[in-house]
Amino acid sequence: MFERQPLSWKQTFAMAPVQAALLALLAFVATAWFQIGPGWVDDGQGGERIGMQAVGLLDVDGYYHIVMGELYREGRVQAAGGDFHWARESIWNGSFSDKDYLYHLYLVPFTALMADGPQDARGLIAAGKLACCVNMVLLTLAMFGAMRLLGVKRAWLYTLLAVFFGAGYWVFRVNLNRSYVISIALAIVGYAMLVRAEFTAARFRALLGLFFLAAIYALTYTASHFLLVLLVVRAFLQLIVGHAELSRFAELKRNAATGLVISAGILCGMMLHPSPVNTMHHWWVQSIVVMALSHQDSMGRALDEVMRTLFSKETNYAGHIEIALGMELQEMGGRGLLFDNFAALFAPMIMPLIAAWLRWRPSREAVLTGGVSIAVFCMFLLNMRFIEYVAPFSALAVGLWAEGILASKGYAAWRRRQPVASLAWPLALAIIAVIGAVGFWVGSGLGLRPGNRGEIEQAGRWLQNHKEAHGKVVFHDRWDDFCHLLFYAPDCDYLIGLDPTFFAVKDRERYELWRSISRGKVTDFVPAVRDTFGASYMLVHRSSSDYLYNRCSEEVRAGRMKLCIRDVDDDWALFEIVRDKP
Amino acid sequence: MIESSLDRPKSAFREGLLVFLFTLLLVGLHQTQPGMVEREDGSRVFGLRSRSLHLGDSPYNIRLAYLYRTGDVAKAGSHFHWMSSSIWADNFCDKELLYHLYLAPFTLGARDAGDTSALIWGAKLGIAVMFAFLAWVFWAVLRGFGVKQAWCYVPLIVVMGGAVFMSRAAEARAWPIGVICSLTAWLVMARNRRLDLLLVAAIYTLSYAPVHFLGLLWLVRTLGCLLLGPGQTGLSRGAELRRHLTLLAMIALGVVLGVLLHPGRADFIRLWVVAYVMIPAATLQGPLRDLVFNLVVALNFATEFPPGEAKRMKLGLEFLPQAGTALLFVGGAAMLSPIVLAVTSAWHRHKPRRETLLAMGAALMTLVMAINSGRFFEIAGPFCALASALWVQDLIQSRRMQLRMALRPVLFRRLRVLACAGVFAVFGVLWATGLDRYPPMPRPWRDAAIWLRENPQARDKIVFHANWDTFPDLFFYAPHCDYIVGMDPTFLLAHDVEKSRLYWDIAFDKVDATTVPRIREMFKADYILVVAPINAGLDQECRRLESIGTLRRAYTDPIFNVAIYEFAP
Repeated sequence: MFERQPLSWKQTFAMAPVQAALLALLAFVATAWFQIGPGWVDDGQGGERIGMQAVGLLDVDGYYHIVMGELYREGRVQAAGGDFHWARESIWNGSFSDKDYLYHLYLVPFTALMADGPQDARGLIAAGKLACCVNMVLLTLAMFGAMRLLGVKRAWLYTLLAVFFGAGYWVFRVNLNRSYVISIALAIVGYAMLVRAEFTAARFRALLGLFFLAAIYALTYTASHFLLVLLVVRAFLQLIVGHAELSRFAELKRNAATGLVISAGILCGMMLHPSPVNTMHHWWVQSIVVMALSHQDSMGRALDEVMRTLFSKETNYAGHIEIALGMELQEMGGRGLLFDNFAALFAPMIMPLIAAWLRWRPSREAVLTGGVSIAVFCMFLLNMRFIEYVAPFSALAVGLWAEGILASKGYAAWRRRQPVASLAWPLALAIIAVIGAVGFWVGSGLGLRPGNRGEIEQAGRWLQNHKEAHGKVVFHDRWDDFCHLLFYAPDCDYLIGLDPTFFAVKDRERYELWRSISRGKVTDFVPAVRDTFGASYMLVHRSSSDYLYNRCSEEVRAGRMKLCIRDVDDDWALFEIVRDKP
Repeated sequence: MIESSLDRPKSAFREGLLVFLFTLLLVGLHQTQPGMVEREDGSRVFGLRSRSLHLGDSPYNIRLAYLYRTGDVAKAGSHFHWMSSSIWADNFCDKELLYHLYLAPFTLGARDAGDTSALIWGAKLGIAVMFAFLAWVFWAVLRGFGVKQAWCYVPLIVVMGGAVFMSRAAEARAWPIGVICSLTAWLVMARNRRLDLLLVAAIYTLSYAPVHFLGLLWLVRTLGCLLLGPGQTGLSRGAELRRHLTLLAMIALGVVLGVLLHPGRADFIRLWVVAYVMIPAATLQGPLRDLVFNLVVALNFATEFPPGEAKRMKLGLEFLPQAGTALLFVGGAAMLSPIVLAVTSAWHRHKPRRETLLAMGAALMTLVMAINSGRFFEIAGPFCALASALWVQDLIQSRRMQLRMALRPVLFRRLRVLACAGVFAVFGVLWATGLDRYPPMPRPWRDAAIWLRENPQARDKIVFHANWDTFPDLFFYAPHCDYIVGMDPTFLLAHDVEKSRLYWDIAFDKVDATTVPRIREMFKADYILVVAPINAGLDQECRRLESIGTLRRAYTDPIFNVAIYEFAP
């Protein structure tokens, strides 16, 4: 009988499932460390003890997503239907379509497991943190799988190096409880499938996979079109590079067919959504209008022109709407680029230089994926948030180039000539990159520890604890307060959340009025808040407008408003609007 | 036609002359912007649209050149009284001495100090000649590296430098000499010409103070040589290092020679430290900045340099980094060229020569500088162009490429023509964009400065101005008066922290009843120039003091809301 030889440790670690399992474990542990932030905390008796320094969720959107998971679990979102009354002034109110539908359903088990209902803030936060850990595991496995699919040797190493290419800002972004983490995973797997779809033998299965993936993408996240963007960039590069066997035209036709399959998948995903028509409208606002408003002089003008010419519709996105969008939509550049994202910036320059020096002719796939990673990097320069995609695509491209170089005849010749130096150089670079990756993760983990559960936690708790406030509208001067308010007081309604564009698009006049009040440009604001917005409560921050903050205090003295609760540091205050008795 | 002209042999002299003259013409057109000019009666006539100097330091440079010509600078010596509250006031050392001497002949058209029109045209001609010389040097350096049809690559300077290079090129400033010296130094380092390098370093030191850039170039070159190995030189790494150390010694000797030849040699180091250590450090954040400041104070280059004060200074826009869309449009070519060229080489299995890789190393260094601070596209443009030209030449001359070209000659000829056309088209667009924009107009405070010049009582008096960047214009139009600070506010901070504090309080509208008396007491000012749209707080306070008789309004410009107040006797 043939006796099976026991596997050596080296052989065991060379097995893909083992590598995947170890990577998953590492991702879980590293994210858990990041989310918990173990360290010395105040023990309440004047001393210190080991505890959890990161008591809240990073950034505000995580609170919204986890509470949405809870509201889905309770059936309250389903009961609300298209009437998302929690954001009264948003396009969501009356035509709601959950743009992160599948992600919120995915969060339901976490809330069920960790929280005792919507009042259990600690439990919900723990659920959000656990979801972040699982998200990171999924993302890691997706990157590893995509690299394996594309034939990258030592895929585990380049998966780890994604942190090095993404740097501090990427570490921050992937530790948020947000649906785009799933989008990154879907994008990188989708790209691997795009490549597989070019092989005749694997085409059918790859296209089938792409179809389902696109459908899941559309159900989970708004930017499902990113798959089509990847395809277009790749197809364009293919036209330049050419193909050894296929004509350019034939390749173009094949890409067009792939594009149709992806589009069908996206359409299918949208149709499977509880409210398909609203989903399409929300996609338009979220993906096109927000971009136009974040680049009013360029994209805004172009969109106005397109709308006028094609649809005879007069829009005014270039009309300089005063809108404070999220920081993530800002452009990237300068010192941040040099000191944080230097690896992603210089890798496309250095890798071809080394290839040329060693006379390695890069594979077609290396050139195409390299081109795609550069395109993604350009997107990042225009919009900081695209760092999300820079990291995995840079890691993938570098993996293809580096492994190609190491397998080249030029490198083999160097090995013969200088065995020590030729081994030391790549090893040293890899060690530096891994140290860099660990440094970015640990540095961000130490620096980004949310020490509280939201600045306005007490305001939200006050609203939830006072039953008379339930069902009433709260006027809030910052659109990003919505996430915390919904988290702590889901029984009240608010004006706007997640993005002010949803307000500006619904009613420009009311939006301008809200902004004017929030900026302290309206002296007698009480009638507008009470009658126009129908609000019974008003949450005001000192930093939004000193004038408005002080005027609120004057209105309290005049008897038109009542103070409900004020921040201990006097940074915000919640007021009740006194309604005239009938 | 174009194809045949590409291959036609030409004499180097004729080619160089054409590069010079063609650049002179293009920059001249850019400076003068010929076109339809509207007269006061509304009629339009063909003329020169650009009759002022572009924003920036140009007025200062041409005026200083004029004062060199008249001997006023020599008379002032190290006491640059025109900036009465700057370190220049007592320790003046012209960091652009040779550039100002170069500009001096262009001021010969000016009859007297008031003939500003002749000075403006002189400056414009000086700019055109300087850029023609820069293009010629670039062409000559390419020839020095053996690049064929070097003239084809000259427009690459603008393509790589982008809009920032074009806008910086519109000003009369000394940096083109820095670029010329850097390019020349790169060539002489490649040829191991030690005495030439010494001479270049000395000229650099005398004409443009950031001579340390030569040290950076040397560092890139040395590290590159050590990394890439001996190549065709046959030298061991040790011998290579020794050779480079000798080159570094030559640079150092050249700098020392330049400093010794400088009339203000005693103050050169201090000025260099303030301009090139403290100012860049002021743009940094955190402990690194504090460390630099403390070191500078410890070395006695400044008595005090509080980080809080340095942080709130508004430095020139040129120090801002390029970001996002601007970076893509301005630096797109410079960022993409190292990628595209290297991928093309790898694709064709072409191993670039050592010299090509070294030039690319220098180009990448300048690109990093440019991403960090937009102004450095002025140096990134020429070095990226040099690297690209060397790379393309190297690629074309490779055996494999020659073989491919022999197999498909028509295709490659067309590709060459297309590439040339592409480069010239981008250059043309950038040039035409500069030509088409609104010509520079006089600044709002020009008439106030002319009033100072025409008013004999104001002669030799100190004028307080709350914006340091008004100095070049004030100095240009009224060189008979003295001012507070110019060129960079760090010179004021290094001179006197208390004065700087007051100056920035005023700039940030923190004005109270003590402000104006303190201006009188600390700056010894006789006049206060107020540009109301910029200095709202100071404007209100001066109006109040005018109403109670403490100040007398000596000049008013109701259109631009500019006023000059005089202290009542």
